[in-house]
Amino acid sequence: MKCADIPDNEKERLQKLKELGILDTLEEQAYDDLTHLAAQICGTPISLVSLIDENRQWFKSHHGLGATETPREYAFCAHAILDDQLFIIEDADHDERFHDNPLVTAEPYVKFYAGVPLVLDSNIHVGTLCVIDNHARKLDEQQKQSLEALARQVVSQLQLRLKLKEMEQLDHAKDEFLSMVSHELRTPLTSLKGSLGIIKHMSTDLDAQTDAMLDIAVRNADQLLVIVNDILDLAKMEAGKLEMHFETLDAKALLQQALELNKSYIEQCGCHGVLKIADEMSGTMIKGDKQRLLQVISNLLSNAAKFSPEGDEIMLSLAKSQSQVRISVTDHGNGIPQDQQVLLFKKFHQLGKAGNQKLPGTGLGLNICKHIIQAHQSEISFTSSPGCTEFYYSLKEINN
Amino acid sequence: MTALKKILYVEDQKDIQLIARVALESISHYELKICDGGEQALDCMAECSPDLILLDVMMPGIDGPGTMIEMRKREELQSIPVIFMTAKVLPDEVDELMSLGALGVISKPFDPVSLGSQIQEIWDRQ
Repeated sequence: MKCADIPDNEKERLQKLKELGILDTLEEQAYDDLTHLAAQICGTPISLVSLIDENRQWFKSHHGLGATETPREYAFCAHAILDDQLFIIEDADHDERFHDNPLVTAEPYVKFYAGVPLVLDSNIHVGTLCVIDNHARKLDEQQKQSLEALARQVVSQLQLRLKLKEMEQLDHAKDEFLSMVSHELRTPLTSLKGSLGIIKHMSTDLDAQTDAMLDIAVRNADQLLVIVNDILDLAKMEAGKLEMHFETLDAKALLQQALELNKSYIEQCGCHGVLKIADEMSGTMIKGDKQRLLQVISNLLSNAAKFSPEGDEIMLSLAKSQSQVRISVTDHGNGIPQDQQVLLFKKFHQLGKAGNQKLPGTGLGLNICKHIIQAHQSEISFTSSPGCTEFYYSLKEINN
Repeated sequence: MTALKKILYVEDQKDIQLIARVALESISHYELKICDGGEQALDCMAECSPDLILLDVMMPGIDGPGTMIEMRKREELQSIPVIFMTAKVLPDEVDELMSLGALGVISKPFDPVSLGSQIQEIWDRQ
């Protein structure tokens, strides 16, 4: 019996197998379909997707064969991977390399073998797609070509697998990066806000100017934190990593809480917030992520406050139409100019500064709102004309 | 339930250590011991017997969760309650920290003026 030589690039080969993470995994339909087809087209009882490991050949798919692996020294496939083309042994009994091979003289009695090497990265031969019969025979030209075509399909599957693993790693790297950035940004902010908080708390006797400077520092540190949170939120959303925690919520209670949370901000802008909820809305339940929905309503309310004239009313409404629960925020500011409307939900877009002297924003708010509402299987929309702007979205009512 | 008197704070950032010292000693009047990292904290805990460990999550060397897992392996440290301090604030991340058996999770940036009462509130819930 002649054992196959070890390929020159054996180290790379084994590395590639490790990258594939395919050895000792479960059977998969895609590979089983291909061996089934190969066996059918070639008219053989056995067909294998074989991967040549350091000391064994392991079968990802084994049509017509019970065994899932054999020692490498007996493997016909170990010979097949030494070349680029179809490797055929038409009569193993009369081939001096194989006639006394245990796989020939005993189960599974390999008398005919045809294997196409599976080649990745143009020179890494990881294994074969092969067909095996229990008596000497040949393959015709069509069968040979079909076997080669099927082998290319097996390679496609392997390449897909590699791509998926790469994406998993990239995903993991992105997660780690976001986590690190979050930490790196929040750490100096902790120190900044912390030390300012302590100074403010301890200094009761500051002159007006120093006090005003301190307030500026505190306010801007707070604003920085808002921006950092917005950017991290957005990064997570764009990476598809924003996790929603859905629960059943009382819509009326949600809006009451939202208004309460934003009351002082609205008043700082010289406006007042009003809740408009029809009586029939008591006990109306919706499904959503409470924190994120509050975030959306807060964003809409703060935008409304920013763009409303002094003394004006901002309305937060709850209404029902069929089984859709509609939440909206209305203000009576100058409205959104026509040419700006199409850009409204885009990242970093902010309305022009004229009339918007109150407090700055990141330009990310509406984009984040859009993502959040989309994650609730809905869309946020608006209508705007001078004197009246309304942002709204609907969620399905949940019946108990 | 025993009163909360002595806190061991584990945090690698010197600035934040100082802020916490002012917050917890000067403003909230707890007895405070500070360690730079997990390894130092594990040694210190056995000696100084704190009532509570305030544990930063992301630290070089052994991190917060790792420190807590080590504590759980040692009989003399097993039952000391832990509150995590972290910039990680996603519900899943918080759940993961709580599942280690922490008493609570406080997010960073924290308000130094109310840090003491936040900790006391979590302690009193026991």
